[in-house]
Amino acid sequence: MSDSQGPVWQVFERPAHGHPVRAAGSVHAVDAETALQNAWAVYGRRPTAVALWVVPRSLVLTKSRDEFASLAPAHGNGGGSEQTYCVFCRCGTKIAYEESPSVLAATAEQALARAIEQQAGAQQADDICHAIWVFPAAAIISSESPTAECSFAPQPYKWFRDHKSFPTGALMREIEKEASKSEHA
Amino acid sequence: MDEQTRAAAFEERIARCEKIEPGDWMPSEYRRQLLRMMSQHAHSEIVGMLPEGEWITRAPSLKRKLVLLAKVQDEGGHGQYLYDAAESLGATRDEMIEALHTGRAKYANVFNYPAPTWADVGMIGWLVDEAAILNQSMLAKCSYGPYARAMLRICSEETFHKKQGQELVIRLARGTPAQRAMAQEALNRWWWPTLMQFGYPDAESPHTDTLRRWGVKTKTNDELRETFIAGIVPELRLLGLEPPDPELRCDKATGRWHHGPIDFDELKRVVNGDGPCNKRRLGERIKAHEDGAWVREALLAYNARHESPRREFSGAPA
Repeated sequence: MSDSQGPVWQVFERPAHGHPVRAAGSVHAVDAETALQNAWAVYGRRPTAVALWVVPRSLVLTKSRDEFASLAPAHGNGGGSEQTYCVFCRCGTKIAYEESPSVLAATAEQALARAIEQQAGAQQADDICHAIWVFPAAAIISSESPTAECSFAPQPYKWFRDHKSFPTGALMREIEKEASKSEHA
Repeated sequence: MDEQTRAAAFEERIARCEKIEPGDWMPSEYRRQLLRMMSQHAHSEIVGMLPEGEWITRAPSLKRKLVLLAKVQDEGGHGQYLYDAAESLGATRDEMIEALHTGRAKYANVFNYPAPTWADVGMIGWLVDEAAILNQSMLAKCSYGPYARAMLRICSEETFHKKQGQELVIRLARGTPAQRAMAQEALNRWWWPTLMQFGYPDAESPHTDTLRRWGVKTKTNDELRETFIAGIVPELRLLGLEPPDPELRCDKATGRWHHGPIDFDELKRVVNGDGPCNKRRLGERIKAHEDGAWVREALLAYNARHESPRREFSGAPA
């Protein structure tokens, strides 16, 4: 193995129920189980994600707009059986890669070409697609809670991760008030 | 397209405030600078776990221990976000770790100073994290997509750390005379290193112009430093704490802050390996990496005994 940290797994998160999944980052792990556990430890420390996916980086085809033009068109069925590919796009002024409608394709290249076609409808500058990721839906390993007992398992409420537990603004205002009172006295 | 046309198109994208993604064409200098910044930044997060990590076992209460544990864990997570961003430009994790361990890669100067008292933990959280927030909220708007995304995640967590640190210092400053003295001594230790953390003055900062043109940085080191001073000094003074700089004053007419000379030779020495704790920090980091080797080996051995490394994970023991 060339990397002592294990292969890379792309991590996706659903920030809240009913919200689209978006790319969160990545972890290194030797297998899916550890990848998912690492993903929860790194991207689910604050209970902000309600579900996490991990996908082997090697199965994610990524292209940026500069590369779109040089891609092969989506004609034909590629000669193989089709499967569902997940599509993630970074569009307009949005900074995150967000889930777009999935496509059926025989290969990742074909899926990408179809995803680009799908995005081509958006002519508004606000919606222009800057970069696309595709990967087979079958490659997703996901869970809706940490996969194993881990010391940093998200809990419904952790006071020490709550801004309100450290009311520095209120404290400073109180001190300021006291200070001005004693000045007047 | 030739190089010149591509470069012009790139600059136009930057001017339109578009984010650059890994596959996009970019000048090799843009790539080089970003790799340097992102890997240094990642290393800083990882080494930054050490000075405060030393205090986990000595935290004065269970509450403070939990807070500190969570903070140090956050820093580890930040390192992961940033290594991920650096990997998007082709750097491998092993290369980056090796560069750190052999001293080729740099990390933030501040972590090479000792944290001898509990007040240092609060002062690091308040001063060092506040300085980091100013730098990072600027970088969250930077033109390179992966870096900006990592920064957005980090900023929201770092705000926490600053509040936790400030709250700790407030309690000390309003505590016993000994606690107040401890807070003041910690401020004396951390004030100058924190000002140095913003980097060399603009006149001696060779990359600033290019990095600004490419939308990587939108403010200069001196601008950020002054914003920091203007924000934090009134709050420190309200608590009866005074930065160790007799020249520090706010010009009433302009509203601008004047500070005494910063010892940038010290910054150079500390960044290049000759600070009070460089050897200790790097030694601890290397030891942690080596001590973790058996875990990596065990995971590989476990993995090798299963036919498919990507077998479905059921989520529950069979």
